[in-house]
Amino acid sequence: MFEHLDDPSPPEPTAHDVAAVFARSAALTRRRATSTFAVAGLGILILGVVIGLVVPRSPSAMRVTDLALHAGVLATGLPVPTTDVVGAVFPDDQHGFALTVGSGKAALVATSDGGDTWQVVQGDLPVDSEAQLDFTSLAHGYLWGGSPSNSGALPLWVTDDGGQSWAEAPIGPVVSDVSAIGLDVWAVAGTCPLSSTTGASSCPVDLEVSADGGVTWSLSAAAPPLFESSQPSYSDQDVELARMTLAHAYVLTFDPAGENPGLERLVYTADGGQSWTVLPDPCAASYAYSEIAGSGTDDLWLICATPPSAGAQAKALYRSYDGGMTWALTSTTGNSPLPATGGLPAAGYVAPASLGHYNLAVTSAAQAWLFPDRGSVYETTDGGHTWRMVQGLVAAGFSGIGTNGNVVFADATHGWVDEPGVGIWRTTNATSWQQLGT
Amino acid sequence: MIGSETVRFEDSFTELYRLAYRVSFRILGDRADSEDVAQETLARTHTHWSRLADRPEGWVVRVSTNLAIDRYRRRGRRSTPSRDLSLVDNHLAERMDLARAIGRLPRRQREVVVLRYLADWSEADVADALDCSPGTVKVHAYRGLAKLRAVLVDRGGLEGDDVRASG
Repeated sequence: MFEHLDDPSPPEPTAHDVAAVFARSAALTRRRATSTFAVAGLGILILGVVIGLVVPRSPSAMRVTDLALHAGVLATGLPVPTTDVVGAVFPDDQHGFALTVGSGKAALVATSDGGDTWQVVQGDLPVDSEAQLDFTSLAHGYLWGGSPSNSGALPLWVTDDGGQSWAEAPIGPVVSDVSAIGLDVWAVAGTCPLSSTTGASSCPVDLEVSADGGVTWSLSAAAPPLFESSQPSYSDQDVELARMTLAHAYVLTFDPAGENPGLERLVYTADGGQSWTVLPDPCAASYAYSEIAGSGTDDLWLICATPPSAGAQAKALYRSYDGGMTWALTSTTGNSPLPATGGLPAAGYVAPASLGHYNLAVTSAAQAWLFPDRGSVYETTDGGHTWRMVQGLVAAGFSGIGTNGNVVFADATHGWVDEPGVGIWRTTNATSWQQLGT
Repeated sequence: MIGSETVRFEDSFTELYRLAYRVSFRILGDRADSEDVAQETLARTHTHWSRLADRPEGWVVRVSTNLAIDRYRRRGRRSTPSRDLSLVDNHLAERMDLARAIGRLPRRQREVVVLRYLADWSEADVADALDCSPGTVKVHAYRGLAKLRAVLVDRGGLEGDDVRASG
């Protein structure tokens, strides 16, 4: 029935595949042994001796395979191993939130020890596993993206109780990206429902603003001069909102189908959305907007990239010191037509070709971290002119085989690398790294 | 079918790898991703080999399907090389719908549909793997396909005759 979907020339497994399988198997066994003996064994021993039957026994952590096959709702309080945590965000250096997946159903998990242990907070989220997540405090959080509803909507969901309950924000219908600073929340929303048959190739975009954590909303004084495609996707990432201050923000739109370059645009507001400026596009021919980040209102880092292929993607980093009015090519992967400079890694994909917008973390005008999907983590300390692989991560067991990884920093020294299916690593000094939950 | 407790993982590797790759490619349509899913599936198979060696194929199909669907959801559609894929993969929309539709099936229907139609097993083999009767397989396959049809017929990827014939 589905023979027409087959690879006409499937590859035969090679010695490299065999070696990779055994390496992954060994890593799984190590994690399972650590979890089983260190957590379950020691935990049961201590609990059994000290507490006995007085305290109800906690459910044991489900392994990644169990979660992948799990069909029901994960129970509140259920421990979840770090291998199954995806999209982790940390409102402070100890508390974090993330998603985990059981048979396509996303659950919210939380940590209060910097990421060492995670427990289910809400196992019945109103979103799929590819949703985006942000928390600005222990109480206020936001969920958006994922698979659209039957009516073509992609709502924003808001919580004010640490994720236990979620309410749909009265905006949309297609919320593409969200950024919150305290209770001041901005959401970029497409004004057309997603539709595979009637979807507009260019749909106007609104900026919705809330000053009370997402309870009440109003349109910005001026709409950003942007359009996005309303063709459906599993995770609507047509827009990236990079907010620098309460009033300053950059909004980047992509061309999801590669058919309408007019959709690609970078705009800027310095007055809370009362006015917008379209900024020049520095990307070379065949390169397109990929990720934007900054350390201040004028200091910008912009990655342009080619379409991904076979695990690699040509990339070029541009820097601007005047809020995007002028750009300087700073480093590249060395792919035509750009000269090779700076050692930017070709391996791995960056947004929007990877889920979310957490591939590039800028912690100062000089320092930034890059974690392309399916690649390694790289660091620069000279403003992006040279990049090097983070050896401290490799020494801590980081493998670079996971997909849709994130690199996030709560401040200049406290950061996390999340490699879904493999684990989470933390640094508290921006130099040495420790794998969590092991 | 491999079907022997004495079979070594290494001896089954090629056959199981091909199986995992084929299933994941039907969903993902991307060689690099399908190879990655096949590797991950085989790694997990290896860690469970002591209890899977007698009949690992069904487990491999289910895990590779779940990993492929999960990969598809997490990546979002543009993590596939959309600009290139639009030129070389005529079935991109069908794969997207297939992944979504299978992911939404109830567990038993999903197991049957995946083994019967993604792995191309006979009803008897599916019944044997799931420890149920061929009649039960037929019922779950019919119901599961009906739900797939609701999504896929519009794409032209699944004809009505396919559903009727299975029922």
